[in-house]
Amino acid sequence: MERFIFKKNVVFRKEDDGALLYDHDTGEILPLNESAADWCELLFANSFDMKAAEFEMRSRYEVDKGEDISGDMDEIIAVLKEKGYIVLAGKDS
Amino acid sequence: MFLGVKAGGVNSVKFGGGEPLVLPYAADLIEFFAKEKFDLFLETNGTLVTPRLAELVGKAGGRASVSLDGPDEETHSLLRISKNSFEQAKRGICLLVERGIYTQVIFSIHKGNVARFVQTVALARELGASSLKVNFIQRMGRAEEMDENGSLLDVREFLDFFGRLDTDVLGDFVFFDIPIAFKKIKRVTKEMNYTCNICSVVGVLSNGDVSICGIGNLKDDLVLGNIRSKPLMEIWQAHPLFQDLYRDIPANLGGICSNCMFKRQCLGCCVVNTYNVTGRFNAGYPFCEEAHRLGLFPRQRLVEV
Ligand code: SF4
Ligand code: SF4
Repeated sequence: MERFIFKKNVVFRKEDDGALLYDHDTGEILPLNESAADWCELLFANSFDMKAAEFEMRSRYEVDKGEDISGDMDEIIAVLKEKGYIVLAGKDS
Repeated sequence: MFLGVKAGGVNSVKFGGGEPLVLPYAADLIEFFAKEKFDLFLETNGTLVTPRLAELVGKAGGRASVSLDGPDEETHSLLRISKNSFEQAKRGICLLVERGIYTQVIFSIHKGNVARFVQTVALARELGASSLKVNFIQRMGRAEEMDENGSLLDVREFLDFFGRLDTDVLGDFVFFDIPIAFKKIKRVTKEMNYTCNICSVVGVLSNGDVSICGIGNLKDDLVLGNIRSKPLMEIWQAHPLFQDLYRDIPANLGGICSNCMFKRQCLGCCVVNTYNVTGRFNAGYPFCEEAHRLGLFPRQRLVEV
């Protein structure tokens, strides 16, 4: 399975109502809402265990069993990948 | 002149002052902006808005901001030279709103009206304004005098006021003229692009003087030419001060701005105010410098904490 981490020089700052991602190289900044911030913290600032992250998010946000939240996770990964905030582990430059 | 800059790629005009509507040719100019399809933003105290002018601004698809410093005559007039302008300002707002024009009320906050803020917000809503902006009064021009009288809020007082208000309750109606580093994430998301975009702005004063924005009337050394003697585009493209500005903002912003996550988006907030205080455009923005000195700048917004 592919594993993503924050690109070198990306600063992740968690705050009460979300988080900011700041890319030192480009000066770009990306504000994240609360749940996106949680996803990021659980995935990229940790060991990128998607199952564990999903489990944690379900309990934090009291998500019904039948509700699929993996789409949210995929979307966040896709956006951050496209904007260059995350890279495949082992390929950081 | 306007056709010249339009050919050069300029497509929006902020028509401000002083009070732009005192100009005898104000209506003709607005009509011209409408005809030439410039995006128009009118900054006025509202007292001289007439049904015809409002009509023209509406035709130009323009937006407007009108100063209203309190919910009654007494509060509104406290720091104004002309008294009895409250009813006229209200009427001006109504005329603009009636024509469907996006109309923002500007509440310039000071010690004499801070306690009447909530009532002013209520009045602005009642008048049908689209939003209300709380303006921190910079120590420039006439405001320097007010500062000497102790009428203005200082950075600590303004931040204290901002911190005490529940901006969520005020909702999208109220904006704060405060550097973006102080805003909550939800606001950052919405307001990140609300900068003055100084690197693509040029100011022309009513006497033809050219400056980096409408501020040349406050500082003689910021008058960079006059359109009566040279085409605007020529002054804009060639004057070394513009060149310095575009080279330094945001890349060489100094002081607190150099270590701020938002420097690329914020562009140092108001470089003219910075120039006024420090003599340089690219020094740290005085408001943020002062907040930092007081330990009130949000550390989590600094690149290197
Ligand atoms: S420190 Fe500078 S760049 Fe940051 S918010 Fe303040 S003015 Fe803007
Ligand atoms: S530099 Fe300051 S005064 Fe000039 S346009 Fe920007 S915010 Fe306004």
